[in-house]
Amino acid sequence: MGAIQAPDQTPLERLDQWIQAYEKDLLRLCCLYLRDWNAAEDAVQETFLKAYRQMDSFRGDSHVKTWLIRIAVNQCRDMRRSAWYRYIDPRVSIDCLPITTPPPTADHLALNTAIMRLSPKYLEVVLLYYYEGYRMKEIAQMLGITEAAVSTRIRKAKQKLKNELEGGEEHEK
Amino acid sequence: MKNDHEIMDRVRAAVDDCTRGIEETPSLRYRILTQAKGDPPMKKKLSTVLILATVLMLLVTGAVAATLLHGDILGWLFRTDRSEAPAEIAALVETAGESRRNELSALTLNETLFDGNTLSLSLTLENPTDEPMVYRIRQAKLNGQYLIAESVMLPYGSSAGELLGGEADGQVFPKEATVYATFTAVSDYPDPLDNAMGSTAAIAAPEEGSIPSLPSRTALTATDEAEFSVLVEVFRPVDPARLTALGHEAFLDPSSPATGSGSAESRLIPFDSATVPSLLAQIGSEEYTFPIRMKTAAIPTVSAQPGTYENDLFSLELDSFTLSSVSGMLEGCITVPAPSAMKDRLPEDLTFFYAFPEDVYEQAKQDNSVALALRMGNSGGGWSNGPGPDSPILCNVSASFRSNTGSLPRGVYLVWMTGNNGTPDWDTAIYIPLK
Repeated sequence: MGAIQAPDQTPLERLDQWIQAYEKDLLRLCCLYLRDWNAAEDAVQETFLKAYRQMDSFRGDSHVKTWLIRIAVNQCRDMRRSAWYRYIDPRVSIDCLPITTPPPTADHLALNTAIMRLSPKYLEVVLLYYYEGYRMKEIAQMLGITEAAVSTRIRKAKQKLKNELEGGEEHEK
Repeated sequence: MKNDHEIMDRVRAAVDDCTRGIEETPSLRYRILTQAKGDPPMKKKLSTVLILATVLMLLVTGAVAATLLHGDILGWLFRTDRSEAPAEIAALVETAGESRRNELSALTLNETLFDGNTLSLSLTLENPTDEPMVYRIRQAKLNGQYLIAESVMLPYGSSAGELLGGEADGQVFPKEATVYATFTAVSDYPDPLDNAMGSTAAIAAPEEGSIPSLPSRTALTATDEAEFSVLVEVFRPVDPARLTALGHEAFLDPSSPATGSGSAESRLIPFDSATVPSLLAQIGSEEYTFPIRMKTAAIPTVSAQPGTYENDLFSLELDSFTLSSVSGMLEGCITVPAPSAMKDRLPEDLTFFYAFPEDVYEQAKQDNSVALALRMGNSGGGWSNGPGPDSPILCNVSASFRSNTGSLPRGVYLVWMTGNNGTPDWDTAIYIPLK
């Protein structure tokens, strides 16, 4: 068996397989993007449902996770533009994330909060490039922008994170 | 400033530390599956051909009868719980059953279906060797011209190939797989989906200062004699001991000594110039050719009259709406600008719409479910309410639909969503007659 479902696997079984494999990764991405746990769950739910509805048009020219992340990022973008999202508390804090024991270190907390404070276009490339490890070409395809734009955004995001950690510039909302 | 690798390590450590409380949520999984179940079921069903093949199997032994069982192209196209495909569609299925092989690969053309617009094929790929091999199918051609795919199943295309044979983590992998593909046109240039290493060389660079011309595409037409060919590439894993299994999928571990990357995470290795030489060694390729027949068929189509349609809340200027029955499935396209308020204001968050064939509308409304709506395909544009109640931002929305009901409706209801809960607001329904 190779990289695709067997012909006799039902789409629902395939969806369940994807949920079990990638739900946690998508929840992490959406929570950092949307800064709200309930919104993140909604985004992940809608991501999987969209993938399920588009399952027969998935060409397999990328890994399933890559495809799901692309859907999730678009879903998060749509939600941030929606009227409902305007009522979300814009203050950025780690409170939206599930409590961990022991709590994260101060350094990790500072950097993670700085990442969450980035505007969407920088947040996307930071998560996809530095966290998920995608290459610039892949990120360009996922976000529908040029490789040059990805490179520029990474460079600027790096600069913004440096400033956040060392103090100075106001963070972006 | 730290280099990228150092930043990557720091970001991963920080994010992982702060998000380690995130776990899979059984209730979320349940909600997703429950809502997905509300969509039209996509069970594989027996096609007329497969039923006949099963009968033959009981009476005749041999490779031909067994080959017929690998077909079921109607099962892939329809994926419904209907007991049979429309008779006019089943009649278009051509059963080939021809095989080609060499010492490294074997390919059987099971079935073809040409509906006057698209060509669908079912192929079975087999590993005749005793060791695990990775296969990729590329460059489908019709009479020497590249075929442009509408939808395919792996291992067709430029990225990951199919592992056949061998075993990993105690799981034995089958030695064959069935590939389905639907093509919509032919072109002088390879399908962008097929744009693998080196294939861009086939596209000539434009002369300096000239405007590059778009590759031409020609629609498929019926013919009694045509030649279908496809390239099968064979790769041997450099280190088969690094095969791992995850669920139903097989992976090549990039932490193989061949790569020395040190990464502990298994992931599917895409085909590109960097990874193929390190993990996979190409040991063969073969272009297999099959004769096929593409019968003549007419595509029934219905469309809406362009103009103004309205409900109690708003009016809509419909630019175009057509639905065609292609291989028994509905495909369509709609272009419509944003609605105009008829009363004091539009509903808030009027985001997107569903299209319900008229024969299922009442049931859908009663169930308050979108399961029976036409499945939205590619869509673009959109609209949103501006700062005031009567200042919507206008955009054109175009969308394609697919449905496996197979029968053309006499009309559809467009029903909009309001809010972000994903359920339709039935007060926004607008009826569009079709003929």
